[in-house]
Amino acid sequence: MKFAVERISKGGGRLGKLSNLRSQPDVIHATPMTLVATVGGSAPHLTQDVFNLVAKKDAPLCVSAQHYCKHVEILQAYKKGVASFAALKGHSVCVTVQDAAQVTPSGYNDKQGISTWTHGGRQVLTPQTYMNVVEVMQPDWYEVLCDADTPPDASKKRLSKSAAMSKSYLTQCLKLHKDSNCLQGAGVLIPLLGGHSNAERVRWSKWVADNAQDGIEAAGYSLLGLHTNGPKVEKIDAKAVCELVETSLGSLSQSLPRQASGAWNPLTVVRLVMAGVDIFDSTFPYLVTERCGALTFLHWLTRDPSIDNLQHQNKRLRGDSEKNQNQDEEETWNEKEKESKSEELESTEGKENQCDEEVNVKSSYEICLKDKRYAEVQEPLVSGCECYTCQNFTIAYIHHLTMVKELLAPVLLSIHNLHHWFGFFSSIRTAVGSDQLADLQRLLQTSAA
Amino acid sequence: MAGTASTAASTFLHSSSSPALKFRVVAQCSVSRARASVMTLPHHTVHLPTFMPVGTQGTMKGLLPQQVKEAGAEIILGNTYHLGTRPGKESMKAFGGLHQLMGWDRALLTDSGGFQMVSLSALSKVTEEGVKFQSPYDGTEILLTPEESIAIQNAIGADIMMQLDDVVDVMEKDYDRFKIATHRTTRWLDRCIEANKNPQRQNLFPIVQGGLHPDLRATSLDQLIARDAPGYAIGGLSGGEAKDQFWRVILQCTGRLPPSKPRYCMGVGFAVDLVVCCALGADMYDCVFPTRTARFGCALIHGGQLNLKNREFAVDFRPIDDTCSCSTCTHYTRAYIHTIVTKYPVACHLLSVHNVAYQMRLMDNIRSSIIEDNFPTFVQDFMAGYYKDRDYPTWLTDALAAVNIHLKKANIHNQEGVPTSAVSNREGNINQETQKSDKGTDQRSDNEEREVIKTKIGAEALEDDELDENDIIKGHFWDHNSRILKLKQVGYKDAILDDYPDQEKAGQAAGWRAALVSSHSKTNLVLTLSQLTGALMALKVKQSLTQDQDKEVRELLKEVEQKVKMASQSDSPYLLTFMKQEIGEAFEKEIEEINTSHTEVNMESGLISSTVSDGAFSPVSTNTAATTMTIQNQSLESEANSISVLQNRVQTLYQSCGLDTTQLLTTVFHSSH
Repeated sequence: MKFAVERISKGGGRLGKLSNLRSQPDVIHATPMTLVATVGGSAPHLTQDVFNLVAKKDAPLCVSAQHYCKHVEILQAYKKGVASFAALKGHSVCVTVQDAAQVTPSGYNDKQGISTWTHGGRQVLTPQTYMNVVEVMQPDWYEVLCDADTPPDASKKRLSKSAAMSKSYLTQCLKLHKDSNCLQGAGVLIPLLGGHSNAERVRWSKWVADNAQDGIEAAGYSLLGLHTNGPKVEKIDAKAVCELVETSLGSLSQSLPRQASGAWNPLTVVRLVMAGVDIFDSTFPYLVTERCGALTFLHWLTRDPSIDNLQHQNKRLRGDSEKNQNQDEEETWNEKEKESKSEELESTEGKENQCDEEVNVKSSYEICLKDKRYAEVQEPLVSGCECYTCQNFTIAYIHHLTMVKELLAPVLLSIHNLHHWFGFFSSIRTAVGSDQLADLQRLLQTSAA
Repeated sequence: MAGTASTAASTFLHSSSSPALKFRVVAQCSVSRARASVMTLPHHTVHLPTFMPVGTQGTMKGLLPQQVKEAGAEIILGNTYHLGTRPGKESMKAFGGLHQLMGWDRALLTDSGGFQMVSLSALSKVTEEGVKFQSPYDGTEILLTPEESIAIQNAIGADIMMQLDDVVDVMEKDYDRFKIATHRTTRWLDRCIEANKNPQRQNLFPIVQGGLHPDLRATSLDQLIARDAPGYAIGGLSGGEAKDQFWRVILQCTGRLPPSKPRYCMGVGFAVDLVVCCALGADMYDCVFPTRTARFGCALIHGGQLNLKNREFAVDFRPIDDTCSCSTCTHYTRAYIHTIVTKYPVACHLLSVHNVAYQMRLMDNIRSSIIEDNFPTFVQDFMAGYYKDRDYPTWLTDALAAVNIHLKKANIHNQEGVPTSAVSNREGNINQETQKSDKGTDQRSDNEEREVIKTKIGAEALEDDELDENDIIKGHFWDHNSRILKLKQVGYKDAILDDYPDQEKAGQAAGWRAALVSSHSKTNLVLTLSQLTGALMALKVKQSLTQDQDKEVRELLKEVEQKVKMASQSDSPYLLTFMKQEIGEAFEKEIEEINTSHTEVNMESGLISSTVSDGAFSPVSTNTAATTMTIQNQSLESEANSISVLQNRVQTLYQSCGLDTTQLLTTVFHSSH
């Protein structure tokens, strides 16, 4: 695994090239980039043929050990690694410990190892068992096992425990890596830890830097301990996280790629890029799909955002503002009439309000397909979008599928959301290349406002 | 032989005057009634005989239209009832029809919706005007007339529409009811023809009715043929009738229906049935079976199906079927599907693709063998491969003999047709046995419909119960389908698949429990408890009980409930995890419901384990269950004893109602001893 920084932008962020992956010796991936988050080895909801309608044949995947720690024997017998096993041969693979889409329950790690949750319940990963999983998965690069159970409110004691255990895991994993034939050529991501404490992060990074001379061959860094996965990640305060990231990266080599997994929202992604992160994953669009949402946020700086696009966006925004107005009205109405509530009115208003809340979009980057207002909209999710879904189906149809809970709804949404996400990263690279990342940030801020 | 076929091929048969359908027989089997033909519809030219996968709600169960095409489907089926409810007729019009909405550019057929009305709603009533029923969505009373059915179907815009027919349960005993239905169906056909606003682009198929009565079938045929429709459907079958009766009706109908028009045999989809019906001269078939069984984790292969949940597939790196060229078999191994089956939707998509492709390939093989005029040989080889012991059921040999195809019995050693199937003996046997013993009910549940399983409640259902109790004793609970069918026979009602996801989930969870418990122990208490509930509920719904009896039923129900609760407090991890979470709450709700609605139990609300589960994903995986389930035999045994006391009380209660329950009791109680 090779990484080269091509350009450090004046506007923040850097362009890089990831190459020499062992499964893809001839492929060069431009960074900042996104990995495709997987469940059970597949892109969620997508069989390989459908996945290839949206992703390039060599798009790198992110597969968590969480999904495969129960299948070590199967992969061992299979011998050809997890990408091939999941019928995604040709795609490179990064192995992480936990699935970033699923909340990792806090408080289950001990000296033995790290707890992860499979369909069969809790599993403890020791350095040895984890490395066994990694070996049979045959990744191009992988995260070293660490104790990243350091939520924002973690105590000092927890932080120092996390550090102590992680050091021990790290040493053991690296030793196992050296001794393993299967893992030669696989890149090692060193975790950058320290929770939400700047001091801890400085201390950890210093330790990592010091020990680098002792023969730790890092292929890159993985920013961990910032969250414990799941949908909450998108709500994390971007500014605080970026500070922590900058603290972690401060004393470390500039020439290695930095990965930050998790369901970061688009604005946070842009800020993390500014802070120097190179590799992300598609957990955010996956979670949007799971809540019946479609990504519609604007991210085109250079390409003329077509008039259609704006129209569509306006429509949504108008809808939103109408709703807001309603809410405002309701509030004033409530104040005035609080005492003499007519039951009739209350019940109808209450119902509508409830409905609204139910279908309320979860983030400002998406529309919710459960919303009744899309029942008759015979337009694609995003006008001008070139994804398979938008080329072939209308919002009304996806709304129908969502309402009747058909399995095709998340399939179509996955295609669109992944496409949109890939497009977003392409926009990021363009923006970094032309020193316009701040403009992209502003665009996201205004359209998300 | 080949010469005869080519002569037939040159015969150009003119179809009806319908501007929306051209039909041409390409080849006629020189021995049987089988024929290969081409049907040109406004959206696509369909090669017959064909199978029509069912896309109930405007989609093929998670597959893109492109995938459905790649699997080989040329015509798919949509459900008028579902589409008329959501998104609704007006929306459908606004969208410019279903083709446009779902991005399907090949042919489409819609049913009339009448069947769903009757089967989904226990409270439906058929009058001359139409079918009156309570909407399972909101309980309002709805009237579906022939005119309304056609109006919805016109809005959907299918190439072929079906008339609204008066559907009578094939097991109905009253001859007069069939007589009324037969004549009414014709009267309704006339109203449908009148109501069709788009005859230029949409064909209307009548449905031959008449139950199992040859005279009524003859009348129906006479009347419908006189209407010169573009094609005909044979209806009112696949409802649990004996196979021997089934094929005779098909034979009678294909003998009378004009050879120049397509014949659609409704609700047929098992491989053997497809081959037989083709031999009898039918051209089109539909069934939810391939996609439904996919959701249970099963893949169709020649000779049965593979249940990919089974551990034996964990390190089986072959494709499902190495002779299959579908995208699933080209890219995926059994082992991979095994790791994700019933956990992630992708597994379901993969199996649906394969199963649809399997059906289409079967039809292709039938078709090309007819064209090459070696269809009889094909049938012989196929059956020899399917029934590996060549122990053919009598109905099968009879049906085929009726069209001059003779199956060679076991003593002839022609192994040609036997595929070197990858199925292990054990698996193969289970599937075959299940298929045989459940034939009647399988038909009812899987064929007839369109996402519905017909309701049969209580003691009545037990009278014609064909259940092989040995099957239960042998503990073949791994087969999800058959287990549910068994539950059904002991007084359970059904839910509308996919319409009640929660109940489906509960049902599926119950399925898992039953499957896992029985695999670990001879005793299956969960099953017994749920069966007891079913028997009691059945009694409550079906019988007018005396006060004392009613009291006893309530008491028993309460005690069963307590059992569940008690079990949930024991320290057995199995009981704790499953009973408490899954059964306990659902059960309380259920009891509450019964107590509030005394006479009219809402038939669609779903009993806990009574619900037929077809949801894609079980909340509980094999792995979870296997690890959690270290059952303590001892505590189970004492539980079993106390439950058998309850069983005896139910037995007494049944006797006091004057019900002959011998079969019920052996069925229910065998499973726990």
